[in-house]
Amino acid sequence: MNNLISTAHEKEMEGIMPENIVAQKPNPTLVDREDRSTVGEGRVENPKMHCESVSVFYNFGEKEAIHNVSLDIGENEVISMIGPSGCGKSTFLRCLNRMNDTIEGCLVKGQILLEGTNIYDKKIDVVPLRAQVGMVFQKPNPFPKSIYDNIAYGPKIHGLVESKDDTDELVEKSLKRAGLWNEVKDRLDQPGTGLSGGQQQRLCIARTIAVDPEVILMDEPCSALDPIATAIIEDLIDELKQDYSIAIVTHSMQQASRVSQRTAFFHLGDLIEIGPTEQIFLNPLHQLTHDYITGRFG
Amino acid sequence: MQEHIVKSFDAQIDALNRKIEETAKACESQLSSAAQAFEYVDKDLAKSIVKKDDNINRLQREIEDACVRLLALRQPMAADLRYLLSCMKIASELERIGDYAANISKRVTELSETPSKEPSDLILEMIQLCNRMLKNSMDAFFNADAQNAVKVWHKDDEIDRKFARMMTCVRSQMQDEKDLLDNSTQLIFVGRCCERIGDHITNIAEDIYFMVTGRNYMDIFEDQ
Repeated sequence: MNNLISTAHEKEMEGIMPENIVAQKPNPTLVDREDRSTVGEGRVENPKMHCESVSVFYNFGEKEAIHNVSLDIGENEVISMIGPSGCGKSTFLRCLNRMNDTIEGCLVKGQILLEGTNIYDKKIDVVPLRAQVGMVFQKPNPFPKSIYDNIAYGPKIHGLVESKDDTDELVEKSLKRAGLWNEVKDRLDQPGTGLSGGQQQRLCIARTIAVDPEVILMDEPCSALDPIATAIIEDLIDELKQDYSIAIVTHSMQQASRVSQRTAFFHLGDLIEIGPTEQIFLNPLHQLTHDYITGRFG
Repeated sequence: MQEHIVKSFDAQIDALNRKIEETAKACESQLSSAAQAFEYVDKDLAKSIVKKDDNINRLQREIEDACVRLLALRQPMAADLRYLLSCMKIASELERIGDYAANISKRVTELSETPSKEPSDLILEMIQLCNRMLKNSMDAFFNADAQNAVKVWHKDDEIDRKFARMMTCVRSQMQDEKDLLDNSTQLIFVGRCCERIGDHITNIAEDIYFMVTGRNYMDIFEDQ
């Protein structure tokens, strides 16, 4: 017991009368706000992706967006990244399938392995990589093509289908997995852009799974959707984790707590805390995590 | 501790804290009055204590309502969540303590004469100890002080020892003086109420420990 309560805390408690207290205090054993090293275990037993000391710089090295982040993405897990705007969570997510390559002057240091292969190796072709590590964006972005072609396009260019029958089968399977088949099966030739926001997002998820990925990255996939469409996507995420690893960036802490098994909290480019979602939201270890999730940030 | 960005949440927590304080003070006052009613076999005072118990019941319902409202509307996390859960549980323990103060008073109205000195003194000591423990537990709550909550928790052993002594005393009295059987039975009931109050205060101490550390004190205690 004595170890649990620090001497500093005892001193802090001295002379405080109950009448002066208006709000409860946090766990006195929380890691100090100033301590920027990662709290919690970023490693998992069977990582699908393994990130080691990843730092990202913009403007040709002028601005460091994330600093020395080490984190694994486990097999069949949903891991969520939370943190205030500009904390680096989306930057980190985009590193995982080299989307940052498209930004001029962006520099990635450290190592990111997908099943043991360094994805930043010069020999790696980013086109199949982005099929292996698919991405779903904040705003649904179906191609200006038919619902059918939205799904069929990727498998065709990646050579995953040989005949029309193969393609038909894959389109149906992908739309079924994304929970969209029953809603669109009679209008597959109509434009994907004509669907509702929630349906468009599920179309994008179907498009991502059509190319048989290992990992799915989701960057605020529900922020443009109503609560029902959000619930359908969250239910889908829960289903998809049986076959894929999913990393999701979200501003909704309720969403992070609902869908993920582990949660990573980023702040000003540092990975501050990583741990089981239950622990992060019930009893975080770092003062910054605590202050962020309880709405005390400042 | 840093305040919430949404200031109205802090104001609601402040109001809830005051409500808990009011309930705890009402319990302390009921216990003190019960001790007095018992000591002087003051049946009028005892009856007024029974009547006042409604006030504590009402306060408990108000705290529970406020907690449910805050849980639903603020969707609190971490320390805020643990705080609200603890408030709900503590309010319920306080309500039970209030009930036992009323039960003691009901027994006082049944006493036919002033109880004999030794068991009576032990009962008064138990009530006083309960009151001190309750006060200390509330200080620990408002200061979010897990260490002092644990001290309160361990103080319950003293109440249990006093209760055991009181029972031995009453048992021998029942054997020796058969005409005091009725009074002795009332003493056993009163002693039992005090012992249960001690248990409810240890529950409060456990709730405070969970609120502050996020851990269950019984797990820690059993590991030691």
